[in-house]
Amino acid sequence: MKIKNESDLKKISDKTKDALVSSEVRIHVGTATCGLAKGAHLVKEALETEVKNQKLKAQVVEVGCNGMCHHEPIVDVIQKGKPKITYGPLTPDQAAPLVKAIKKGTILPEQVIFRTDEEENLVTGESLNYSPGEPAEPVKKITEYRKHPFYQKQQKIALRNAGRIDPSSIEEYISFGGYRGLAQALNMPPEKVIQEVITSGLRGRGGAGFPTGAKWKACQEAQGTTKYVVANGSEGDPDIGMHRSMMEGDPHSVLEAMMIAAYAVGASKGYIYISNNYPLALDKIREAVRQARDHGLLGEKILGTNFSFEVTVDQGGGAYVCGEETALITSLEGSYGEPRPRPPFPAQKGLWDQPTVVNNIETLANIPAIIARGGSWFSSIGTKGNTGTKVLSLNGSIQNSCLVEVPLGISLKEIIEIGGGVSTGKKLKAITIGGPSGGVLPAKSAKLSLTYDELNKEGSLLGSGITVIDDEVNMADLAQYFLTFFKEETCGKCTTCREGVKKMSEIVGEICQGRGAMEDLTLLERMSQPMIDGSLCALGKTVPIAVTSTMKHFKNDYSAYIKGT
Amino acid sequence: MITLTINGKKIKAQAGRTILEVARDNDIHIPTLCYSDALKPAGNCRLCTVEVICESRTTLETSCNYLIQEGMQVETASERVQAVRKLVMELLLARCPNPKKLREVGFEVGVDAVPPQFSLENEYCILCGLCVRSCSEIVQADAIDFEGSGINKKVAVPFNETSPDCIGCGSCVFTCPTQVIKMQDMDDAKIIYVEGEEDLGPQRMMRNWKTELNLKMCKGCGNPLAPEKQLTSLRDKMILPMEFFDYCQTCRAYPEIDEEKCLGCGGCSDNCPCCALELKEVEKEIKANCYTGNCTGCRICIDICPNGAIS
Repeated sequence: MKIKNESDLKKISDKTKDALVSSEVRIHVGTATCGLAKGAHLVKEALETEVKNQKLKAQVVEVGCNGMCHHEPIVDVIQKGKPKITYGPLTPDQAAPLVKAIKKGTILPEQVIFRTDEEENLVTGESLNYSPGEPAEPVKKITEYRKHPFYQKQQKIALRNAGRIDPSSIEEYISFGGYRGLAQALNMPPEKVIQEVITSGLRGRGGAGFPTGAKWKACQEAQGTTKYVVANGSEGDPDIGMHRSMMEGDPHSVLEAMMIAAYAVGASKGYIYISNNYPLALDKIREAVRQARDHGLLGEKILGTNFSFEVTVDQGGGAYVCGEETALITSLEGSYGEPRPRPPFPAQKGLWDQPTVVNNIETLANIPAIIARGGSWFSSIGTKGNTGTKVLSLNGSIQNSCLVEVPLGISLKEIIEIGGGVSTGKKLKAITIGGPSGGVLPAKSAKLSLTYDELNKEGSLLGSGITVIDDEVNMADLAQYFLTFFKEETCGKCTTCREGVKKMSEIVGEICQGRGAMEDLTLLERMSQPMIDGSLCALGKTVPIAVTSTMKHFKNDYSAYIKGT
Repeated sequence: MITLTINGKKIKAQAGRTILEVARDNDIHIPTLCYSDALKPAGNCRLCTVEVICESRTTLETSCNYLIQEGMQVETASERVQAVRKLVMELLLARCPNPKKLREVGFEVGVDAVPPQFSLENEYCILCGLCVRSCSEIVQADAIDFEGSGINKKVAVPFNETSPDCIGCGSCVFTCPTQVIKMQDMDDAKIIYVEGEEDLGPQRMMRNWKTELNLKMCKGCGNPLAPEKQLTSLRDKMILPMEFFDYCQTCRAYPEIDEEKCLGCGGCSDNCPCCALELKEVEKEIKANCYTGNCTGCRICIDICPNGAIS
């Protein structure tokens, strides 16, 4: 059905909510890439078979990633009048006993992770109450979601719907408050929308941390015949899957955010740039675009207003450098993804020289919530100047590799604890944030708080991946790993970056092979500032940090190779 | 007009100009490798980096493509700038140790030796892109471009096959700072098979672009003029008569007008593609006159004259 106005949205929302509430049993299977990698599709098939064979009146629904990648395949069971029970890891052969347990009204105690009594809908502010009153035994003994050590310190804004809704259902997205932010935005003048974003204090989540509201304002004020909004989903860091989870679990939130941005700046065309490393995310986003179009939420006169917007999904080749906004624009235009000098900035002259807003997928995911709940609400989360939350992929020598969302200002130590702490039997040596571009921080940095300001001061950046490094790793080897990555990913434009990374990689390589000398360290130091100064973009400017940060905090690791110990 | 400071010197310049252009206008030297004032700047070599202070914020930018701003302060030889230039040349010399130009520029910025830890390659191309830009912007043939990216980047022809678009003009040869692009003219090219041989005649070889082009010979002296493709392309672009390039500069003859036979009809001046002929008054009569500065010896006028007055 075509959604022509806000009341149509409400009709769908009410209808879907009623269906959800009245359904007897609803079983979620987490089939994002992380789940699929652990065989979640087989679990889903097994559950569907068992539900049929055991004649259970139940829906088996595919959902996105809930962040607990270490417990995949994840299965949620929602039974009328009972708390939501989350199981994991669940294997296909456990499908039969699970369905049996559901029929009996009991649980599978071995596989239970947590229960959820009440879920807050972030956009509407409403509470979804799964079971009124205290649950009975044995459910009572299961840890409740909000007290679970994994979720206790998390706060889901960007990932509010991931793992909770069927990403292939626009109706479910709407029933969870989807497109309500857009409806609200369209009822305000564009300047007020921008003001809400400015008030929220939202800063770019791609690492640079530029105030999003200021970027939108600059684009709105710029002169051009056509304005564009571009969603940067070209996540190319080797250690993270944050954009992937977001796009696989809640693709419509990206679309809705782009529409709000487009309305605010005066754009009528958008591009979603997704790396071809993420085939499932590409599928989900394309599906969401088709659905939105079929429902009249893309095209002319959206929600009965004069606002028109169309979107094209562009598949990138997977180059890391295309995460840089000007390289992304160049790639969208059909050329090699090579960065361009700024000024002029994309907000003034971007895609085809027109005013363009390029926003990171995570930055955008926050927008519908900000508009629905207000900029002040968002700015109350986190700390001053560093408001809101950050989605992080935790990996490395951590007990549980997982995906979390935490308020800014939380300490790195607490984040590592959310992931279960350093792997058993290992000792914390270093932390990297922001992948190869963030350099390394020594173990004592665990007390630092996750803010742009504090991390930038330490020479790091607020990236999307935190990797825990244990003391079995020689940091010179880690530097070499980063340099090898940069060697693959440099676009090759600037002499300082292209030739510099080749030479740095060779020199560090020789050191790691035991053929280095102390003069090599002096040379590496000497090279780093000119490489930063001489390179055009953030890639070239962060290559040397892999070397300088490891040398600063872990010089002994380099010396160990040189002295041949 | 914009007022800016370069190396402490206050300068007035027009908005829309780059730091490099303004520096050159004021005899302030900034070394470059990938820059040509005939082409759009690229910012590839990074040699022209300068320190820019704008509203108390210091950044390092390439001067070839950075537009001047009111109140900007530029330092063209600060320590940071010199360190960039030195590293750029050390890196380029490690990549391309042989080209004379690189050694000259290296010497200029204080590089006499490449650090021993830098392994030496045997490249000649510094990926400045001057050849690509000349071919695209001036010649408008777009026969060559960068291929691959990152550390494997190089300049090539599409699919590494003979170029359908190269006209053998040699602009790329002319702009290449390391002279790695070569053009070779051969009087008598031959293909030799086991069974025999095939005469190809005069050819221009653009070996870098895997392209050989037939050379057009002068109708007068029989010497090679230029590649046929180049002449055809120029002729078509500028809509010139078919015979326009039939004669070389030496053999090209200019019309001689026999004033006795000239009827002053204006047929020659009307049909001259170069406006080299006009009618003027000679002793109270109208006669044709040739301005040889414009004439290219195409001989259209000779054929057109109804009275055979031009030879």
